[in-house]
Amino acid sequence: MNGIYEEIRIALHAIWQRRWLALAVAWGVAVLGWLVIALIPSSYTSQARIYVQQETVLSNQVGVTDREQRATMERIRQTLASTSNLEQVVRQTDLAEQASTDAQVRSLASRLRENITVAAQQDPNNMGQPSNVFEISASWNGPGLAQQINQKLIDVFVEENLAGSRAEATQSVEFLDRQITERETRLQQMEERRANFESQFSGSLPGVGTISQRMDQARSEMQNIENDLAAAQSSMNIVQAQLGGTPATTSVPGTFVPGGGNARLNALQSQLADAQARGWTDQHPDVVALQSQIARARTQGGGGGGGRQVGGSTSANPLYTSLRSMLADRQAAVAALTARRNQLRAGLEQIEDQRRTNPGALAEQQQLDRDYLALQTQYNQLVADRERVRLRGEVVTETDSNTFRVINPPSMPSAPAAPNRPLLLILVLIAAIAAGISAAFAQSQLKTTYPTARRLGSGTGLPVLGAISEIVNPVNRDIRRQNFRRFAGGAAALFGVFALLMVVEFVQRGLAA
Amino acid sequence: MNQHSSIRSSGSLLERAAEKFDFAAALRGVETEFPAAEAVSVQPSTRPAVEPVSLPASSDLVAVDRVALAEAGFILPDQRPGPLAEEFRIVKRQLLLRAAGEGGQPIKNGRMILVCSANPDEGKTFCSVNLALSMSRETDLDIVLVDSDLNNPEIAKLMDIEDGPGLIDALSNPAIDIESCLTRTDIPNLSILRAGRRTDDATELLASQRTRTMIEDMLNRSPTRIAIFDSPPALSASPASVLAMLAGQTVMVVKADKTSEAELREALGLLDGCDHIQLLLNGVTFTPNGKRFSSYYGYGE
Repeated sequence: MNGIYEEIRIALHAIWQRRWLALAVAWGVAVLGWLVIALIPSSYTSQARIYVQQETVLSNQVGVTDREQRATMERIRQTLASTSNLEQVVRQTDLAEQASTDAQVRSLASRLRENITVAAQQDPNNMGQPSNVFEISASWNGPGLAQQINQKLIDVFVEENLAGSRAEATQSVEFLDRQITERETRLQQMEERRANFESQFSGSLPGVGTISQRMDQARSEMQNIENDLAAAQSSMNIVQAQLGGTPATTSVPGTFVPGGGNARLNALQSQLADAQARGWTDQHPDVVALQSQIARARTQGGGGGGGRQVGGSTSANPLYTSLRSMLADRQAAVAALTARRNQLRAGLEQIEDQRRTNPGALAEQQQLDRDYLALQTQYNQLVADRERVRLRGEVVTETDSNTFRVINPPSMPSAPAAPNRPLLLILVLIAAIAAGISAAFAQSQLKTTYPTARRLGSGTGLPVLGAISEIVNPVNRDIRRQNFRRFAGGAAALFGVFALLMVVEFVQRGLAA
Repeated sequence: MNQHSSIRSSGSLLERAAEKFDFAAALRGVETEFPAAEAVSVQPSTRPAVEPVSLPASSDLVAVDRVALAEAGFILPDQRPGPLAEEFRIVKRQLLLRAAGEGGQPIKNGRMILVCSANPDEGKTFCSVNLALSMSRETDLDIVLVDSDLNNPEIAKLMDIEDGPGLIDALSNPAIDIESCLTRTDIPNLSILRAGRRTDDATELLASQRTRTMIEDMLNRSPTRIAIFDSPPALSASPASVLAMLAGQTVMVVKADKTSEAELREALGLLDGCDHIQLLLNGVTFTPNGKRFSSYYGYGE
């Protein structure tokens, strides 16, 4: 431990012996480093924050999903840094003065790409999800230019985004239109073929659906018709039997028809009797009225006769007539059902016949039916889709126009973002001092000298008589003091220059701000 | 050769450690304090022609600019010992022991000490002058400080001694006695041998047999004499390697935090002629335990 301590002291001593070298190296490194720092161009960063509204009530309704929105975010970020965008920025800002040819524009654009960052801020309410706020920062070697670039970038981005969304909807609709037209034509062709086929084969069978479906329908219908037919025939037979037992005519007997005057007279006389029974005299007005009425009735009845006798005769039987009409009805129904059944049977037989003689045609027919149904479903779907897309495109476009908001306009940077000159100045100073010390140490290691008698003895292997301390006479002492003062001055000057550079740096910042 | 291989390994780790830290010194005890005295007793018969160095009259002594020396950070013998003096005392002791041939085989020309370094400005002159000053404090030694940095002589200037004949003159002209070129200073026991006139073929002169005999003569003149040669930097001038062949001991000054390993290895390779190379780390600013001698002595800086 003691040895190490001594070694360290000896090393420090050796460095102190070479302090002038150390100082010179430190100065050299410092001046060189500071020169390099001075030559590094300043880079200014302009920052802006924009808000891009993606979630509207409407667009959620019309199926702009969450995933699509995230994709939109990604698209925004990528289009911002796309080459064409950047070239546009180069052409439309003062950078255009630096680039006259296309190649220069391209190289500037690629330089620009390295100096632009677009970051979506994290959504504070929804961890892991990008929020709608984008931070755009652009760095360039002039504060004004950086701001200009940033501004232009936002402008281009807003235009691009609006146009992009609109174009997307239009494109989709066009695509769907094309598809729909194509399907329409195919559908028409298919319908034509189907009609031909049907007229050829299954025209006799009514109903909808495929052949087998219709055949099934026809069979069940025929079953019903058979039943109806049986019922109709049996009821016709009953009516026929009744008709047989019913005579076509009937005989009618003679009747007495009473005269109208007698009846009235009788009624009046009974009323009179009632009135007399009540004790009314003949002078009672009612009795007087009744008597006069009876007298009038007697005279009338005497004129009309007292009723007549009607003689008996034969007439047509009504039952018979109705039974005959019923029978006719039944017969008509049976005939109709029979005709219907025969027709169905003939159709079925025809198809059965087809099936036997030409089974391929039937399969073809079935295939045709299936294809047609599929095509029709697709077609309907496409038409519905087109309407939806058209609506959605309009929704996005209409709502997009007011969803870009610049929260912070591009800032005008006052201090350069890079390089961090104060830090670099300090680092250079430290590096310079370290370099000086290490240079002195390296020299002491490379060129071995002997600070102590023990080292001299062990280094050479020769006997050492002794060590003579340095004699410091007054003249020497003055010289040394002067030397030390010079050294201290040199070292202090190094720090002084450093301080001066720092002051200059901050004054410059103050002026720029 | 890489940095892990020892440049020159002699003996085991323990032996080297003993050498480095000079454990033997503690065992040797009192004797070590007076190595020169013993040297006298060992070698008298080998030097019959030597007459003892006569102490020169005080009028012969050249005054050294002590103020300038003190200002330049040198240790003066009449100062109270400071931390620097203590450090040099430790260095000096080891060199003197070897010069006296203690702790092993006697070294040929052990009393000739070459102070060298890889590059200029690493403290050769500083160390050699300080060593000489520290050694001159020994009571019984005769120190000769030779400025052999022929292209860039500094010592005379440093001590504020005027120019005069020196090493090269003595080497190139047989008529000149080297002894007469020595300048005695007013610092006791310290003589200076200046570099002398400039010449273009200093290396060849130094490599000659005459130089060898002359230096040996000079050393043998007195058994207490120690010659400290301030050498040119090994990697900058060729005389250093020639001198290393003559010298018994070489002190390689290494500047702390400055001399690189590669330079040191290269310089050591050039100084291969000397068998006893020791290192001296100069200008240390890093103290592992934060302690210097001053903290003990309380001298402060």
